[in-house]
Amino acid sequence: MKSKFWFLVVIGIFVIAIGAGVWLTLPQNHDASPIAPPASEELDGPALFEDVTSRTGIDFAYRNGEEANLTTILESLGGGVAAFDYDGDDLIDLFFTGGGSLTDKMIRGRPGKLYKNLGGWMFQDVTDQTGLTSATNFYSHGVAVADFDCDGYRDLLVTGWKRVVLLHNIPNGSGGRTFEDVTSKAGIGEAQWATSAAWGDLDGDGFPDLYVCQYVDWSFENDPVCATTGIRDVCAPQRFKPIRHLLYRNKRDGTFENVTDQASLRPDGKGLGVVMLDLDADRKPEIYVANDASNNFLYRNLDGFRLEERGSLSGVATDDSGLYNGSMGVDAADFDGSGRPSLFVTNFQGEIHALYLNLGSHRFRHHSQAAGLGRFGRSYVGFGTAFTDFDGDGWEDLVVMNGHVLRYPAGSTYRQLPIFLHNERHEGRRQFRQLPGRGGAYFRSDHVGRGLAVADLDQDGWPDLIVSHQNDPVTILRNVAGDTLGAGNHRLMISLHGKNHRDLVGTTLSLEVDGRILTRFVKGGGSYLSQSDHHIDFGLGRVDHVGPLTVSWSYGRTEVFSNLKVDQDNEILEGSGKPQ
Amino acid sequence: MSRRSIRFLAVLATVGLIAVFAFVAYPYYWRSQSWNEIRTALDNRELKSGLELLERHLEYASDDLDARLAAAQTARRLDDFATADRHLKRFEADGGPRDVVILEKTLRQSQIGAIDGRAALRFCKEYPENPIVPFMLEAVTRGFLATVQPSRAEEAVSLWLDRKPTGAERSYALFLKGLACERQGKVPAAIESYRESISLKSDAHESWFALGQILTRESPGEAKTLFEKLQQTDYRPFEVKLGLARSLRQLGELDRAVELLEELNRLQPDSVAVMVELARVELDRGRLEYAESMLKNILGRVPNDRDALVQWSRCLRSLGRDAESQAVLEQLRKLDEELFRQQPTGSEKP
Repeated sequence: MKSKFWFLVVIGIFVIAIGAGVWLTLPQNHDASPIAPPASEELDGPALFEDVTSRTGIDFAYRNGEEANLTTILESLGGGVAAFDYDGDDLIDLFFTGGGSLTDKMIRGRPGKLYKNLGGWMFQDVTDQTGLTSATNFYSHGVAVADFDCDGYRDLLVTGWKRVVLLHNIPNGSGGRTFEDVTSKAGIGEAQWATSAAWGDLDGDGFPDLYVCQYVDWSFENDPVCATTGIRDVCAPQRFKPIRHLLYRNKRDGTFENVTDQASLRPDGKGLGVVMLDLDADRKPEIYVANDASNNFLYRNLDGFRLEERGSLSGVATDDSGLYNGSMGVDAADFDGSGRPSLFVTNFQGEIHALYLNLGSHRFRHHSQAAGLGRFGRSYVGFGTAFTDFDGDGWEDLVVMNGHVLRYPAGSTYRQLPIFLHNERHEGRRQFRQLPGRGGAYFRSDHVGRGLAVADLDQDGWPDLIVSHQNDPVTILRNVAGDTLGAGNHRLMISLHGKNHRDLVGTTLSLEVDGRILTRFVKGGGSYLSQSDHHIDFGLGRVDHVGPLTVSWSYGRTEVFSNLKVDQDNEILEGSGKPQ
Repeated sequence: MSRRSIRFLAVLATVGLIAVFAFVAYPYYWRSQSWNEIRTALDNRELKSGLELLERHLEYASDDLDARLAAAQTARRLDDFATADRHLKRFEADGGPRDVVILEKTLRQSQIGAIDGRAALRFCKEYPENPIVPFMLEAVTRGFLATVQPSRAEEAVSLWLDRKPTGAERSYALFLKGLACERQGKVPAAIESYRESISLKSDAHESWFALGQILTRESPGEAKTLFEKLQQTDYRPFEVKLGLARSLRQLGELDRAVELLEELNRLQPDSVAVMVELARVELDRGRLEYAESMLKNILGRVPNDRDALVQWSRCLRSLGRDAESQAVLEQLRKLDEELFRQQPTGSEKP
């Protein structure tokens, strides 16, 4: 019994010793590896946009010629879309640029497509009967729309490689409309590599003048081999020299005068995006240009084509580190209720998309981080963009279409997610937040997005989206926020008409809503290679009645309009004093 | 003698024998245990505690030349050159081989970039199996980084990684590779290296920190998580808090960023990095007067600080002082030109 006791004691000590040894030799309990990303901001809930492309009959894709496998910088830009009513039936039609091909190092064109809106989300291809097949059959990129001759119908300008084409909207002789190529007659055909363009009356004569961005001096004769990741890929724009942009004065007789020198346009911008609007409340439009890999430009309109470039001085040329960005798309809006338009610019991977807060008196401050735009990182390459109040809550939201230019980008992907950013209040100021679960299926899948336009295609009062991609079919996104995130919110739509169909870029509208002033701007250009519809749209939130609308007409006086109808389109004619 | 007395004496003799054995064997046992602890610490790259253990070991075994050399090497790897010198001198005085002393001095010179590491790199390429090679590659990589030759640093550390170091050594090599990539603008490769480094050694705090810094702009949400986790350790608390504040700014959480920065400013009122960041965030918040006084203070001390000048220009513009803002922009332009001219790209030429 005694020996058994001692045996157990020895065994017990042995076990304790082993246990203690094991315990002592165990590794220290380190914190879990910190490499897992933070919790997703994913939200559940019904979507804001529904992809209705298949219902529309629109089946078209911009082609950049990548099948030739030449990896030229020409392929990187992509194409745009214009949303405008070409035939005066009050339905917004759509034009897409076609791009081209590069087989055997021959730059060939591919016609764009014009789709007539038949209503009920049905569209008809009218490219042939409107004369656009041959007229747009060149390697194209961008499109801009304006009624350049003030005849009441909007005309088309298509940009691209070595060409700019002006297409006059004229009667077709049987009650419809067609387009006539008036480029030579108008005197605006000269271009080396035209990208985005913007129309706007810069001298107050009522006729829209024209700014055309140009990119770089690439050609097959100047086509270096670039391979950032060891495989041949598209060269960076830094490898090329910029081409001076072009400015044309509309001479009111169907012709234009090149006033690039007179206006002292800078020679050093690699232009990709441009927007015109009144940034300083003087009723004259300014020109803001997004340049790739160089400082962005801000041309202050001093009158009569005297422009003062003050991008750096105004704080809109570079980011908050004083460095230039690779800028592509651009838009402007009063996102913070200040009554002033701030500028938004989409940028390249590794950079933050830039929001320049308008402080008044031609001063801006880089405001991206303060507005929460740093939250979604810097792996995106942003192109088409638009400020619009998509959910009708009275605050303008943001949409950005992304997609890389490199086929094999390091640290990112060729196809990228588009981003919908909701305008919300945080820390006492307006900030943008992603609503990843709310954009709809399109916003949950990767694309190579380029052009983007906004238009109410079904006349339900809610702005829809039209997107052009690289080599993939275009997408039409119906805004269904009226049934989801914006259910119960009201809207107010304005169709603005100048006297004698004059151009209204530079006009500012201020609507009093429940003690708040909502401000909208008539803009030329904007987004990327694209043209949104000209209608003005106010989200009203739950408020179902509005106060007066103050219109500060460009180069004109101020008019106040009352008795506006909520949830309807209100026709506002300059000088009439009341909605039509 | 009674049987009881005999039993007592036998027990006493046994105890005595055990005591004598323990007295004789203990130093050997202790030395062996001590070396085990030291090796474990050094293998885990816990250099600071490794050096402490070595110094404790040398208190009792001051003639242990291996420990003396290890102490000199460890102190050098910790950039504690005074301690390294002390141990190396003693090593030499106690009869340590002269060539070993010269090699250790050479490694130190390589580590700080005082001598061209290319010859060492050639040696490592020619004799990859030589046991000194890992030490040499570590020192050379650090030297190339110190002298702004990141592509050569990447070459050296890649050679080190080719030797397939394991555990903490590999983790540290990956950290150095991350630094080399980051300084060449290879951000994705740097991020990958830091992540791999952390996956091999979950408490590789230098990799956490570097990853947090690089992700501050690329993925601020993740950077914030990293810095918050680092705050639970004692790793560079000041810099970690600054990193956290920077990531909060990227996330638009300016109020919390200011709280942290003000705390840091109270701790180190002379820190230019903190003051610039504070001015930046106050500018974001539109508190112009506060930003102005902060920036004046900074530029009074470091008139050519590029970051401060950029914020000063932003501040002046926001205050409506366009002419002054323009003058600062011009100063910046000249400074950028000068910095461009001074770029040490020439040092990377073969």
